[in-house]
Amino acid sequence: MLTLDRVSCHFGGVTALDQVNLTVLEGQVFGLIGPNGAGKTTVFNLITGLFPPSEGQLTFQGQSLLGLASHHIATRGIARTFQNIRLFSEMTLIDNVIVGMHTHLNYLIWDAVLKTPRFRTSEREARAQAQQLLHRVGLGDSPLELAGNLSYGNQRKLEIARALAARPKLLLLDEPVAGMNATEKNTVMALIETLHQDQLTVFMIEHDMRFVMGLCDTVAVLNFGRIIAQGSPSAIQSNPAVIEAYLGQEDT
Amino acid sequence: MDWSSWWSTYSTLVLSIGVYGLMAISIYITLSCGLLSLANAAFMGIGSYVSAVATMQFELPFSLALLLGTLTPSVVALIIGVPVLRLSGVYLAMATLGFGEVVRVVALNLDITGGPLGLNGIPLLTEWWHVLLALILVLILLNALRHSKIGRAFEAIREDETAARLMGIATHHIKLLAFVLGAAIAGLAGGLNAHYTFTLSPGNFGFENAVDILTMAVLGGIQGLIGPLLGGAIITLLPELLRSLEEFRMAANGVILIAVVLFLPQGIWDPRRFRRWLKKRATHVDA
Amino acid sequence: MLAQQIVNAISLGSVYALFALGFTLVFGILGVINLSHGGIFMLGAYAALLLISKFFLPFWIAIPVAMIFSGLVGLLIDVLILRRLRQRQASHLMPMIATIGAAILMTSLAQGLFGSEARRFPLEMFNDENLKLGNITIPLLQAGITTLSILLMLLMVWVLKRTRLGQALRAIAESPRAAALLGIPVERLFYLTSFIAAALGGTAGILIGLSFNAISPFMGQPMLHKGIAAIILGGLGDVRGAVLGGLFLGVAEVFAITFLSSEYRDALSFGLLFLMLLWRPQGLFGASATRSA
Ligand SMILES: Nc1ncnc2c1ncn2[C@@H]1O[C@H](COP(=O)(O)OP(=O)(O)OP(=O)(O)O)[C@@H](O)[C@H]1O
Ligand SMILES: [Mg+2]
Repeated sequence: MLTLDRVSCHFGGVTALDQVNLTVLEGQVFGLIGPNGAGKTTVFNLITGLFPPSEGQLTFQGQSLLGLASHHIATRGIARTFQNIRLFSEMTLIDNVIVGMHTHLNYLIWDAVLKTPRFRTSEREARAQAQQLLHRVGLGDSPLELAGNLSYGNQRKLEIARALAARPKLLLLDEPVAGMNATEKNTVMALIETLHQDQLTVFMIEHDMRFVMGLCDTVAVLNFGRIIAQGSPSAIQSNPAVIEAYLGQEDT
Repeated sequence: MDWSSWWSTYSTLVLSIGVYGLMAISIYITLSCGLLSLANAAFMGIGSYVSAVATMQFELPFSLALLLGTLTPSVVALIIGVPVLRLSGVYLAMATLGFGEVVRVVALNLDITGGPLGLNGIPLLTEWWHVLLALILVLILLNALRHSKIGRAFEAIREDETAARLMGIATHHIKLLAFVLGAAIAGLAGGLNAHYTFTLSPGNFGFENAVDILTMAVLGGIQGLIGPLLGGAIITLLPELLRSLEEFRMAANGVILIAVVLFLPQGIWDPRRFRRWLKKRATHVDA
Repeated sequence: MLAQQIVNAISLGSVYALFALGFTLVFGILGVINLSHGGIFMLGAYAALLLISKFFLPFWIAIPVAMIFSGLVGLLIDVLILRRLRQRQASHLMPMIATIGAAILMTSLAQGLFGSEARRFPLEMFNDENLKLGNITIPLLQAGITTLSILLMLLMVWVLKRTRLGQALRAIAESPRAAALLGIPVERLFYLTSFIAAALGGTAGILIGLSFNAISPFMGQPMLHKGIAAIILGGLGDVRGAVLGGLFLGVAEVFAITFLSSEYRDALSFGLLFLMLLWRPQGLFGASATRSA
């Protein structure tokens, strides 16, 4: 579904990614792990078109993503969350989710001005769906609260709801449970499992090993911009190069 | 004082409140989309000149002149918006200020705009209800947009443009829409303005005017449509109210700007603050 | 003739550069566009005028005193306005609006106190001595103005590049937070920057007042426009860029008056600015202006 073919990315003198090859298959829950600064978030930024790779190819469903603007990539069916939460904090929870549906609201400006039936139904349905999504991530109780007032963990959940609102084919989650307590982690874990059952492809970055090993069917390990290992969770856990990379980090 | 003499004394003031309400709304649109554009005074100038020339030299009917006065700045905004809106923050403010100066100097040097003397003897065609109708239509339009995907996209872009783009919002189109809409409303206000002030000169649309318009929106507050209207009314009335201060009248304007930024950063009309007050009241009553 | 024009251009450009230098310093270090810089420029000119014509101070005392006065005005604006906005981490719009307010206030006060008409320095101050270099005549006054502004600029560049103070300021420009962690007294250096920038702006006002011998409450606004154009041409926050931008603007204006009609002179700075922003928004020396996530 998604392939990165020899993708490199340089920032000035820093090589954030070096000849990275990755393939995410349809229906997979794919995990990307690696020490801090390994280049994981950069992979997501390249996929979502925030900046172009220095070299290499990115393809999604057989079509190249290179040169596409971010919003076009989004309409192709890729949605994401952010490591450093980027909600619209002055907007209500439900409006945050409805913004995620932007591309699916098919009315024109005139429909909004004249309040045509098309506008009304489309808005009504959007609101209902958004409410459902809020329920799904466990935030259905106070849809009119401002996003900025949520706790850290709930903000992460709202980001997931907002990303799901775009009805993506591929969902990118950047450290979805960072800063969450154990109960919150379990609810997110359950949520991702249901998404997986609904055939959604999930590509996530996460430091929490229990979480990654419990959910992912394939895990890739990035270290200093290179993929050093890839395989099933159990194979990764016993891979000497991976242990070396993580131990090396703990030493410093 | 009877009605007709009151009206003949104050009609200009009343019409100005409406016209500057429109101007404050025009800059509110771009601000609500996170764009600090200072070009609206220039768009107002373009609208004024185009519609005044249309009625004076081409003797077009007023409605057609207003239409031209609305469309011309929109087209200009569409053309310069594409490159200029790549900029953000202070760069955009500076570029639009630069554009405003260019427009002013062009008006100063063209024959059709009357050069430095400007235009005189513009027919007095604007009636009070024209301004009222324009305000009502603009408010209906914007209120509808505010509660649609367009309004939400404006707000999303203001809060986090990158995140908005990753939600699939074509941010550059939306920003261009805000810019052009602001220009159209400013042009309409300009056309109405030209036909009750009798004269027009390039000086009316310079930096000071751009700042005044910005002040209206910031003073009133940009949380909704009421704030800009309120700010427009206050700034228009202020010189009348402060007449006794004479030379120091402008000083009051300066002090107000500073005070608003320091003490009322959300502006006067801030529904959220009102709600907080209500809540506090309610808890007091409970206790 | 051409040589004469070049001399005029450099003279005018060096004062613009001095003004732009203060303006860009505030942006580079405080991260704020201070739109009251034109007002400070105007007040500096009035201060010198009063000291000379009312208090009969000699030239060489009046100018430094007026400089310090302008600096104090800038400091006052920082303490009363900018500091509060820093504490609140207000958006970039807020300092711009508040300093526009301060500029309006200053203009209006000057208008109320000194009247709207242009005022002049006492004529006996100006002797007609000229420097002669080949067939170019340079009035002594013009030579003095140019020398002073160039000296002040060199002093500033030296301070920024070669001293510990300059090093600290550059660290703040890079990141105030990191500078604070290094133990640099960030807040105090913000005050100092505002003071220095305003002193430079005020000096530019004195020099422009002297060279055109006309001081009015409204002289700040057009100068502010030129300052904006100069620092954008050079790249916001870049000292070298501001100096070159100011010089370039002086040259462009002098030659525009010579070869085009004088009405277009004022359009020139903004026309250039407008084109520059479309072509290269970060200016000649600025780093990238469009930053993403
Ligand atoms: N926009 C950018 N400009 C310059 N350098 C960048 C940029 N984005 C990332 N980098 C650099 O690229 C490297 C990889 O960063 P990245 O954020 O991808 O790491 P990460 O694996 O997500 O780390 P973490 O676990 O801390 O989130 C880092 O050295 C970072 O400083
Ligand atoms: Mg990361």
